[in-house]
Formats: sequence, structure tokens, C-alpha cells
Amino acid sequence: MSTDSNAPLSRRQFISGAAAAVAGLTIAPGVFLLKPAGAAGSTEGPRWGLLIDTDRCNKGCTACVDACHEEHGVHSLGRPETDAQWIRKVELHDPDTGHNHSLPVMCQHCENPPCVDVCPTKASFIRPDGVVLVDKHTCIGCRYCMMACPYKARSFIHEALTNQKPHSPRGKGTVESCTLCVHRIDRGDHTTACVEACNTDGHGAMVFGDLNDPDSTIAQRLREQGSTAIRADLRLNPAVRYQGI
Amino acid sequence: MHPRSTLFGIALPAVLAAGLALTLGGCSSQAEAPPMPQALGEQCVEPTDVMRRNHMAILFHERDEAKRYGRRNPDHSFVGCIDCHVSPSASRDQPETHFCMACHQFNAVKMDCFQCHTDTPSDEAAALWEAHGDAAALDATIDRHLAGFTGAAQPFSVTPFSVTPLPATPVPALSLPENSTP
Repeated sequence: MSTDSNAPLSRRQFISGAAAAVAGLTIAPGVFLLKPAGAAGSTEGPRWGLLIDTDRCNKGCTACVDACHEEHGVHSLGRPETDAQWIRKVELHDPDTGHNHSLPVMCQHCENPPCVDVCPTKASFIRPDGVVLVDKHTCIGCRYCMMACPYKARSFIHEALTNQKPHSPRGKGTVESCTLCVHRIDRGDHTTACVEACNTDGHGAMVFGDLNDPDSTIAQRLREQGSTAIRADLRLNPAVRYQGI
Repeated sequence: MHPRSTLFGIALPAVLAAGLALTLGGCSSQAEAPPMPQALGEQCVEPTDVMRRNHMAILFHERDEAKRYGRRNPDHSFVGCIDCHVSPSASRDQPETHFCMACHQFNAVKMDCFQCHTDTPSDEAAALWEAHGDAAALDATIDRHLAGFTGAAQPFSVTPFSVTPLPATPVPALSLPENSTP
């Protein structure tokens, strides 16, 4: 009798207690069931990212979009279906409460980017500092990355372009997206065009910084205030984080 | 061996050698090089003969370092070439005004850099071109312009590109296998 009553208990113990003990163990060399605490942000070197406070971001304000497109020479060609978009303002409306959100969405610079996984020519790649880019020298314009991206962040250039910006080459037949102003990063400017514009012309809703530097503003705010990743269920660990959604 | 193939084995190399000699003989007079537009600066980042022969290799070699790792060499930057060599008033439609096109057209080289990269100098460089008249002021502004590139977040640490002069290639001797048939 006692053995009968103990049997389910031990099974439950096995499921709840023992499984939790296993979870932290190594299941193969270098493969963990659970990421050890503190592993996030422990890689060497910087990882650049953005933090966007959607409570500050205002509906109708397009300072970041305009600055980005001005910085990179992205102009409308009069055909909205195919015009490139590096940042889009997304408006969210909760019908139950009537609450409205407005937030800029650009390339989220994932740690595990699906666009890199699917690229047949390795043109879509992630730099050591976490910036996800397209190498247009090897891009063949197949647009697999555009289909793979859950954020719809990439655009295809359909037409021949002229008068590109010197720091931002763009050309027909290639895919492009937010570069996190990589030319500024390499120059040593610790800001992007969108963040700069949001602070001067917008509402101070965006912060740029090094996620791996515990003393940076962005890392402190993420640590103290928390944040949300869009489509966190996909476990892509984006470097662009949001607050207030 | 068939006598006809033996005849070809001797006659063909002789004919080819004669043709080559005639061709080389016809090349004795050199074609005149195209006039190249004057650059903004006085000294290029590498000696002129190195750049003439190897500029494409330098650009190609360091392209992936710059693009994929952000390790940019300010001396060998594509934007730097354009800023210094191409006047803001130049146009690729008039090759004689555009440094790159002047030589590429002469040498029948068709490359597609400018499908994506801009073919005119940056705004900062365009201002230097405007001020081209005052040499002293120009030197100072060029220094300032170059100093703007030195604050790179990641220092440049590429394996230096070694320029190996191409060996003088002798005309290969014509030799066909003995039993070769045309």
C-alpha cells in the first residue's frame, strides 16, 4: 500500500525535482539544456543594440525614419509597393482598452538571424559586433532573407539608382536593410542617425549602445527596467529591444 | 605515323611562330596613354606604378575585411580614392573628366563598382575641391579630413597587402606534343 502511494510521488519527484536538476547539466560537450545564468552579454567585444521606449514614441512623429532615409540616401521612387523602407512606424491599437502604441521597427539585428541561415551565398551575415548586414558584392537578389525575416525588415532594390551616399552603397538587384549606421560605428560615433534625430527632433525614445558593456546606459536600463523583444518566442535574441509593449 | 600528321606536326608550329612574330612586330609602337584628370592631393597612398597595376587587388583584398569585420584601412578606402581623384564636376558620361573612367575606357575595362558606390566625392571632399585654389588651406583641410577617419572603434589590423611585382612574362615557347594532330 505504502509502495503504491509512494510510486506516483517518486515519479512526480522525478519529473519536477530531477528534471530541474538535469536542466542545468551539460547534455553534450558545449550543449546546455538551459543557458547558464549570466551568459547573456558575456561574449567578448561590443554588441550594439537599440532600446526603444514606446511610451515616449509619439504617433505621427517620423523623425527617426526621415533621418535614416536622409542618412542613407533612401528616397521614394514614387512606387510605394517597391520603395525601400529601412524603418517603418508601426501603429498598434488595443480594441479592448483603446490604448494606442506607435513604434519604429527596423532590422532587429538578431543574435541568431534567420536571414543569415537561409542566404545561399553567405551575403547575409552578422558581424562580430552583432550588426546584421548584406554584403552586396555577393548578394544575388534571391530574396530568401526577406522571406525568412519575421520582422519584414528588408527591402529589395528594383530599379537602378544614382547619387548614393558615399558611406552607404546601394544598388539594383540587391537586398538591403538597417545597417545600424555601421559607418558611424566604425568611425567611433556612439550613435545612429535615428537615435540622434529622436533625441533632437523627436521625443527621446531611443537609446543606442553596447549591450555587452554593463556600464553603458542601454545595458543599465535593460537591467533595471527590463524590456521586450518582438516575437521573443522565436528566440532570435534581437539587439533591438522595446519597453512599454 | 601517318605522313600527313607528321607534316602538320612540323608545319603548324612554324606557322604559329611566324604569326606571333608578325603580331609582336606590329606592336612596336606604343599607344599613347589617355590624359588623366589631376587629383586633389599631391601624393597617392601608394606609388603610382603600384596603384596602376594593383589598385584593383588592393580594393578587393581589403573589401571583405572592411565589410565583414569593420576593419577599415583609411589609406585604402574606396571613398578615399573617389574623394581625391574625382572632381565634383566629373561625369562618367564624359570619361575624359572622370579619373576611373578615363583609364577604364582606354583599357576596355568594364567594372560595376558604380552600380552601387557613388561616383562623386563626399560633401566634405567636394568642399575641398571647391577650395582647391589655396594650397596651404588645402593641406590643412586634407589633414582635418583624414583625421576624421582615425577615431575608428576597431583599429585596423589587416595582414598588410604585399605588393609583389609581376614577373616579366617571357613569350612562351610554342611546343606541341609530337603526335598532336590539328
